[in-house]
Amino acid sequence: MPITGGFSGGGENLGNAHGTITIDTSQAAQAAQSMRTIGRQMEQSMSGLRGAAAQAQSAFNTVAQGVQSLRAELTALSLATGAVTAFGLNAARDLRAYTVAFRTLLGSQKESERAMRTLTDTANEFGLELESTLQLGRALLPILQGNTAELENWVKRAALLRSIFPVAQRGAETRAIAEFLAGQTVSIQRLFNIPPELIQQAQASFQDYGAQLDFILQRMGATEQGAREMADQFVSLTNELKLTLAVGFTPLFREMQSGLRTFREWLEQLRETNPALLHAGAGFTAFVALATPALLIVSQLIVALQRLQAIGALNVLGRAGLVGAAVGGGFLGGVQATRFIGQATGNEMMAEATTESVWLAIRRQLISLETTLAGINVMINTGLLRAVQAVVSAFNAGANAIGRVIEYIGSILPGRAGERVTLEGQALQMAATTHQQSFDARIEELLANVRREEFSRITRMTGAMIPPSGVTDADRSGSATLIQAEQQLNADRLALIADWATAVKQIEESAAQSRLEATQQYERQRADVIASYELTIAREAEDFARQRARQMAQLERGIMDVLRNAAERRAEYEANLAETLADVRADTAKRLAELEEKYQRDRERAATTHRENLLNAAARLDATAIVAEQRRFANENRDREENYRERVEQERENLAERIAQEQEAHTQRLEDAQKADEQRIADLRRNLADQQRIEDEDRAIRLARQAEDHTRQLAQLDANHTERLAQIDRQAAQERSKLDSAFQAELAQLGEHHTAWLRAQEEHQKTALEMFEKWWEQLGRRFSGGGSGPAAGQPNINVPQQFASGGPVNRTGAAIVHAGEYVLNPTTTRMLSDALGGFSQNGLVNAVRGGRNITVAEGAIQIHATGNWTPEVIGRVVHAEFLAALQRVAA
Amino acid sequence: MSFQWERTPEDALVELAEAYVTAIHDSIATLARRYAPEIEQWLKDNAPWTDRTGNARQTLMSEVEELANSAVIIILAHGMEYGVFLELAHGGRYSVIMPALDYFIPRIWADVLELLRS
Repeated sequence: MPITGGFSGGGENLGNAHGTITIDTSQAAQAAQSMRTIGRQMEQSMSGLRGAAAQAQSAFNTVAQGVQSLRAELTALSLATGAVTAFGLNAARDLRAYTVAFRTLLGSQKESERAMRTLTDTANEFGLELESTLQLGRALLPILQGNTAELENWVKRAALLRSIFPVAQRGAETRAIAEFLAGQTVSIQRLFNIPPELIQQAQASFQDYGAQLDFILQRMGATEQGAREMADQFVSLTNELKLTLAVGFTPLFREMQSGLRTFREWLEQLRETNPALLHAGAGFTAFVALATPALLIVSQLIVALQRLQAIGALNVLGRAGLVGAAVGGGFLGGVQATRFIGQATGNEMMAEATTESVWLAIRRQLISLETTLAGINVMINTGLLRAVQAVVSAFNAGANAIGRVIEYIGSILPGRAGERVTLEGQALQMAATTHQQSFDARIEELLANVRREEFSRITRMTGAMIPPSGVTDADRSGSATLIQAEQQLNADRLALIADWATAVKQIEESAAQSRLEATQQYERQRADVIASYELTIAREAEDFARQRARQMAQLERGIMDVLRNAAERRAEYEANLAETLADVRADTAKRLAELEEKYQRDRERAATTHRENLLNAAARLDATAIVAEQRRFANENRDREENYRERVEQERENLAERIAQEQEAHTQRLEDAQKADEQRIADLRRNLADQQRIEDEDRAIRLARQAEDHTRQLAQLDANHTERLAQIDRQAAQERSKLDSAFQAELAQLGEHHTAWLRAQEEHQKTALEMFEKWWEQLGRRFSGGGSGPAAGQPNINVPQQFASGGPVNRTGAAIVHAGEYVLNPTTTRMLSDALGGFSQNGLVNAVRGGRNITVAEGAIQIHATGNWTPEVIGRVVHAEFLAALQRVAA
Repeated sequence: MSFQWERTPEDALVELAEAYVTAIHDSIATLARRYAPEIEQWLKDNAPWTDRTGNARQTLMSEVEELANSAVIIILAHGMEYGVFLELAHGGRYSVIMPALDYFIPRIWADVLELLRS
């Protein structure tokens, strides 16, 4: 979710100056989409997990016993190595934590290692605890701003501080200094008995913390030499040992971290299937986090498994189990009790229970349960055995690492002691390797036997609990062969049921896999569609924004053109005005000059005339004339002067008026031009607004259609997905139905009549009987002459004719004849008919008796026999007569 | 079996995620709206020029715009057309928008982080 800021504005147009602070929250929306996808994936995964969870209600007794049997081996190893393992792993963890912290502060792994080495050396030199020294370094580095050289001085100060009060708690000096640096002086006062006045004096004298502490240490008499002499060599040895173990255990720590993370995830999944596994999961999580000795974890696991066993017993049975228990209880308490239960619960099967049916029910329940439990136990046993294998492997790896460390320590120890330690280390490594190999082999053997043992257990239990049906004890005791055959039959039944259960599981797994793949494909398609749509929308918005910006820029350019033209026009108007005014002023000036010139000329001429007149008057000594002349001259001058001034004034007024007129005209032109420009600008803006309004409408329609198409596309995807899932379900149901039918048939062949199979057989029989009844009824109707043919939808039955009362045969076919009847062939029949003039039984009898009329045909020739002529004679005579008549006709 | 989802992970996660995103967006929008008047007041208080008409100072403004669940924008703007000259001319001597951005972005971002942490 980035935050950005920016500034924009300016350009050739004035525009707006503005800045923005944008906080992008779109990533959160993308995260939501991811969460949505993850949610669906989890749902799909959890559907499988739920299946596993349903199976996870297994009998954990076997597993718990198996783990218990491993306990002794784990105990032997753990007691020997558990403490060292924890010590080493803790040290490795601390080393890793400090390395990471120092690397973060100093910026490089090399600097980090160098600083830690320096701190370790200094700590060993002064007998300070490594962990607290590293912690002090960790606290000081940010303050010192990465100055690692100063770190050493501070560690020395810590050693000096310890030398003041050597019996202080281990690590107290570094903690006190760390607090001192943070402005707290309580620890340094109380743990090392530093007088508070001294501390205050140091703080008053120095600003720097180092200088303050140096002042305090000096006043307390601490010296570096003394601190070195007081160094605790045991602490130094411990430091090195811890560091050595830390380095030695680092690879193991890393291996365990990665391996156990996977193991932890597996346990977390298992834990979700049953809350009782929380103990085991918590134990293992603690093991991962804190490197708790694994024996404790195994104990926790065993406790959890035992608890699961207790809790899971009823859950394992479930509903079917309760029915089975009720039936079984009914048998133990008497068949009548079962009947009562059945009557009370409305279960017809139980209400009509007999001894055999109860046994049959129990047998079915047990076989079903045991078959299910077999698969569950295989799964759980396999998973937990693998888990135990992981734990034990971790121990063996730990033992191996410890052996290497011990071997390393032995190699650096001098003399025979070192050799003995080396041999011990090698022996431990060999023991760990041997144990791991034998343990792996045992685990693999256990895993290989799990399924076989389960099946064997079912066979043994079923064989023990279910006597063969239909075989009495007497028969069984008297016939070993029969018992053997029955046992073989039971084995066949179990194998058949196991195969059926396996096939059902395969069908379900195949269907679940198909559902998963279909859903994944659906998710991909949906994500693609959404991404494509969002990309389209984003591009459209970008294009739209670009178009708007372009339009605004174009508008501003148009306005600028108008304003520029206005400025040019204004300048032109100003120039014209100035020129006009100059012309006007020039004309006025010219006229004023002419007036001035004329005025001066008239004045000079008048003065000349006046002087001449005065001279003339003086020559005449005419004082009156002189006075008159002077008066006249004065008047003339005054008139001329007034006239001149009036004309000048008039010119000036004219000039001012012209200027005013020109300026007024100029102002008017400017106003007109400005109005025109404003109108042009307003037109530009209005046109743009109209254009944008139309574009907005079109865009809104376009976006709405895109949204509709997108929604429709998503709905189509949803429908397709739903249909696909339904198709998978149908196919699975068909396969399951087919499998069930085959299973029932095979069970029937073994004499194991499944209730559903019996019910189906009864249905088949009932249907067959109904069809026979219909057929028989139809047949009866045909024989009784009812109906003219087969009814619609009924079989076409050819009922044989019968002639109990005689009569003509009109079609060829089967007939029912009766004793005493005589059947004539067609030739004889035809001859008799010819002879008798029609054939009937009565006519034939009469003809044979004689003296009776023979009617050949109605209205035809009648022959009257007379005398004692026999019918044969009459026939021959008639035949001869007919023949002669025909010959006559032919001639 | 005793294990059963009361709500499926898909439903719960999707709803939680959407609610979380909406909450983030709304919170940040609220934060921005709280900051907007403060920014505007800061602009008016810290505009470095000497007023002639007072229009430039009075028309300094700050507003909040929201893009649907994608971004929250705080806009700082001059109201007068010659504001751009104040910002850019004379080497930015009379600039007020850019200093405001420098001043407020770290504060807002720190608040956003604090908001998300809480």
